[in-house]
Amino acid sequence: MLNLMWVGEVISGLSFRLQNNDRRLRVIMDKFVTDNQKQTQTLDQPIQAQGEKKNTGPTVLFVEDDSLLLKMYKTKFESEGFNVISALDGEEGLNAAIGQKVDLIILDIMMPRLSGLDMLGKYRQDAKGKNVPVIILTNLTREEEMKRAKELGVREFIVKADYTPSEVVRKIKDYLGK
Amino acid sequence: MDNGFDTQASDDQQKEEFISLVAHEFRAPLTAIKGYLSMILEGDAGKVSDKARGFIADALTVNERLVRLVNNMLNVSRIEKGKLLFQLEKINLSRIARGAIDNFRAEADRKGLNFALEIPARVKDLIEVDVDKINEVVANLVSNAVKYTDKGFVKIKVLTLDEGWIRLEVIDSGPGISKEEQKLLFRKFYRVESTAGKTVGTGLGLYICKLLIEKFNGKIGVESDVGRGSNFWFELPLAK
Repeated sequence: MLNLMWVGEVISGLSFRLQNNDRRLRVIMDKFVTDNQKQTQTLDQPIQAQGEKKNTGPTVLFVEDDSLLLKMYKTKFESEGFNVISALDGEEGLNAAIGQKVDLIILDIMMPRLSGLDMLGKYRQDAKGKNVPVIILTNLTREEEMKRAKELGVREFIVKADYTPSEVVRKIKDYLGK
Repeated sequence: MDNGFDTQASDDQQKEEFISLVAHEFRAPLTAIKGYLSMILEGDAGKVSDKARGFIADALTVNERLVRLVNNMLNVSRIEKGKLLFQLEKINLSRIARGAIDNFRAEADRKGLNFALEIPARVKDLIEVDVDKINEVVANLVSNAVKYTDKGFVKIKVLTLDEGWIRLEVIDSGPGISKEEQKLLFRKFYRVESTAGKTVGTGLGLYICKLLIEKFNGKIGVESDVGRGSNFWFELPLAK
């Protein structure tokens, strides 16, 4: 297991350096991770089809349009054992949130196509999105957005610039432990 | 409905909207700088030499100064208009004091200051506040103390008071502040002049500290004299 996680980290570290247009290499990387999981997992465990799933911790969906920040949080959360799924705008986020099982959503507000709060409004109307905890991680701290987030069941509102990634991890762990 | 009042209001709204958006734009790169540098310090990028560690700690210190500046800019008009939303939770004041010691350790060490925390054993110090906001107040006070003190010490003290109050003091051996200036210190845009050549900042920090502490039903003040250092303190009611 330890070996598997280590391989996962190296691969995720490598794939971060790839440009988005280098999809062919990414596919090879993902296949490599999957193959590694196959080799390491025992037969009675289900085999993960997705290359992204390599940690055994809670699955967190990060919806964040700033790719630099997304990479930063993803790296930290994965090294802390979380299983991270990511989306670059509200629409992608909504599809990801409805399409698969997530334990927690970490949501930015200002995003193209569909804002974080509009995404959350739609998600809460979906049967799958009624009870999944959502934490807002943003640099936008206007009263209007904070109020609306509270109405949509958000209990934690984190200002990105006030916390380092490991402090955010600690806050999320505390939150999940409550 | 194009009367003077409405025009004024929309100007104000536009200005506020603009400040909010600019601050938001500032915060994104500040978040990335803080995040990546702290991850390097935590070993996420491999082993770091002690010298590099020192440089990174210094870079983080100045980055934090910018984070506070942006926070102050954003907070001031919102608090004045009663438009700042608070997330109240219960926390021990000592924990906030310890956090401030950790955050300013590098800067105080670099200046060769004796930087210490004094907390009585088994202190009753549970308060109900917006933790981020009280962190900002303590950071503003400690940042000033470290900035203006060139030799000697900066000390954070937590003391219990009678009848359900707790007090935090930031004491320094800096140049001190005259009685006249003490009266003006907590006013908006006031910048201390008696500490020659060191007038920096926006003059918002202490004003915001006062607004915030008063929002949590507390009191804030200073005891000081020229050449005798300063003691900036606030008192908050204990959580029920």
